Amino acid sequence: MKLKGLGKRAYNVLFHTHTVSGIVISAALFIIFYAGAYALFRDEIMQWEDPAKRESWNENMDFDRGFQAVDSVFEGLAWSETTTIRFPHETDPYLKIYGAVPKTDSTTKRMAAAVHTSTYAVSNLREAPTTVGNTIYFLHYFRQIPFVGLYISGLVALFFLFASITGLLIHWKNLFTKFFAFIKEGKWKTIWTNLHTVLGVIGLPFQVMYAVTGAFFGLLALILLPSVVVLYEGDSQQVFNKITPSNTITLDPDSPAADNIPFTTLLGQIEAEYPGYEISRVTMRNYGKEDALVTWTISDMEGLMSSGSLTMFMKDGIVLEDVSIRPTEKTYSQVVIDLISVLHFGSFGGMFIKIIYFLLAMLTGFMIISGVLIWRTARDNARYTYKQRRFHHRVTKVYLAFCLSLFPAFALLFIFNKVVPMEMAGRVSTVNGLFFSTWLVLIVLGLFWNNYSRLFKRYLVIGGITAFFIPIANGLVTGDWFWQVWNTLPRVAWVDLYWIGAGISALVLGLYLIKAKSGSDAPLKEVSSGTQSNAIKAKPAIPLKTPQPQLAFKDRP
Amino acid sequence: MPAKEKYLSSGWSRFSKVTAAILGGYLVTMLIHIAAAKIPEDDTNLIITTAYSSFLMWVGFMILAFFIKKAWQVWTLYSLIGLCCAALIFLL
Repeated sequence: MKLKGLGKRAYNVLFHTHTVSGIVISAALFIIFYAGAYALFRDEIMQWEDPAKRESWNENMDFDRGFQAVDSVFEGLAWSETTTIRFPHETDPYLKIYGAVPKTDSTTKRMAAAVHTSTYAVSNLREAPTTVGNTIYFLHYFRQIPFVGLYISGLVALFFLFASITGLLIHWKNLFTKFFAFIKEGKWKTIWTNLHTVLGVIGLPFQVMYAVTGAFFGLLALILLPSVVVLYEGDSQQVFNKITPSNTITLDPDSPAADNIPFTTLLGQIEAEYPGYEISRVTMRNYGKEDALVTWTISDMEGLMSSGSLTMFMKDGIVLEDVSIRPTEKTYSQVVIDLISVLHFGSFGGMFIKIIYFLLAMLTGFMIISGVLIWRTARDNARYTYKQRRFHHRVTKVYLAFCLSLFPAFALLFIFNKVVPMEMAGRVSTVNGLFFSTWLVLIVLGLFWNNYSRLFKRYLVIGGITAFFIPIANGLVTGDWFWQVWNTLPRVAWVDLYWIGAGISALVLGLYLIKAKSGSDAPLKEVSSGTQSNAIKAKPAIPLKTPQPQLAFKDRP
Repeated sequence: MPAKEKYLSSGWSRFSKVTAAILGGYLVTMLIHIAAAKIPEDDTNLIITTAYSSFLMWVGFMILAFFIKKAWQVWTLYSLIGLCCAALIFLL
């Protein structure tokens, strides 16, 4: 079955834009998808990285006492600003408070603290001792690049949307056949092309969803700014109030202190009203004052639209229906932004969705790599000068080194987390420094490997071997061997098991499945003689003169 | 396999098209969205919709810019749409 395709000119023009936009964003996009896939499990990783998060917590914690503990440590905590609370849960047994403290001038700066549920000891989250989950999560949107990182990631997402749609258009004619084009016969160019289109077509809904929601998070300012300037005279607060209606209630920062209903009592009230729901977040303003206002964000963590927010004054605990959103009773405008983040962070459908997301992200990574290899292979012929072909080869090599070295680099990041002693001062920057410098070393090493299959193999083998040391390091340093904590800390055990699985698959792929051919993929100075068309036709007959990618599966002749 | 050169524009024309696609596409998208938000009594739904529709429309205009043959035609079309929307924003 064939669909009506594009005209000749449109096909070639859009094909070219697809190629150029794809090549420009490819390496950045791969990093975004690869880091993002791990970031889906940030909670699990953060429990794995910090043994302090593996304790059980006190179910009967007095939350008001916890707030007071934070108040006394962070002097002058500005309760008049929005203060967010997160409850202890399976992967983080601390009460966490995100608020604001005044600076010397009249502005405030954000703070974050964790409170132990039985000792009420307060620690500063901004000086957390470990960073694996955060390093990966920040890398996902290039936060390590000062000021512009987030915007770069947004632009990459935008051009990913462009590349996805142009890709769909150029394959429109053969869309149905492409969907089933799981063909492993033929020349390498054909195999890369089939792989690229099959993964692109099957992954399209997932990829378009991520391109749009990713662009939203990265370029929010860019799309909101014009509307805010023209329609709201530059007052962005008015727009945000539409999403969080409870912000429309203005409170008096000087209102008198009062004894309100205890926080814990109000919490019990919400829990009784919505059994089976999880209170994912609480925001408070003017805590301890007469007009203290609290908003409970609840979700069953399963449905796409089953979250809601309930706002009440702490003096009476009566839900203010005007500014509250009951779950599943949302209006269109209340759903959209929430839906974007639920879809993007995979916070629905439980672990099943996260695993599906992870696999789709990995397939997308493979689609990106195959795209670059098509680009290179299609240009490795007599139509291009030696200089051009050498450039194509170098770009491909740098690109592959950047992307493929992430696997061993991530494995090493997990190792560094356990090897660098917990009590060491400046531990976070040490771990980050080690991670980024070893990643760089791995990239530079890759630049000396002129053969793509060797590049694949070596990174897989280095990463695979490193992966086996991760559960061992965890067991030796924390004593939580995965077979011992299987029942008590399943998420920690799963991180260990993931790395064992990843290590085995990487070694099987690297040592057994991918057969490295000798020689180099660097272009030869002389391409087979003859006219252009002859040179291309001659390819299978004289394989050595026009080097092909030398990645071969064993079952191929 | 790579796109055939004879169909592609080059030099200034290419630069002009790329600019029209990215920058022109952005401006037209924003103007259309603001003009649309001016029409109904309550603009909440339209402002919120911008969160995703703007990217889809922006990319649509990018593709359209390459789809149209001449760069000046793209600029003319985008200016016309832009001016109409600006007039609507000013009048409503």
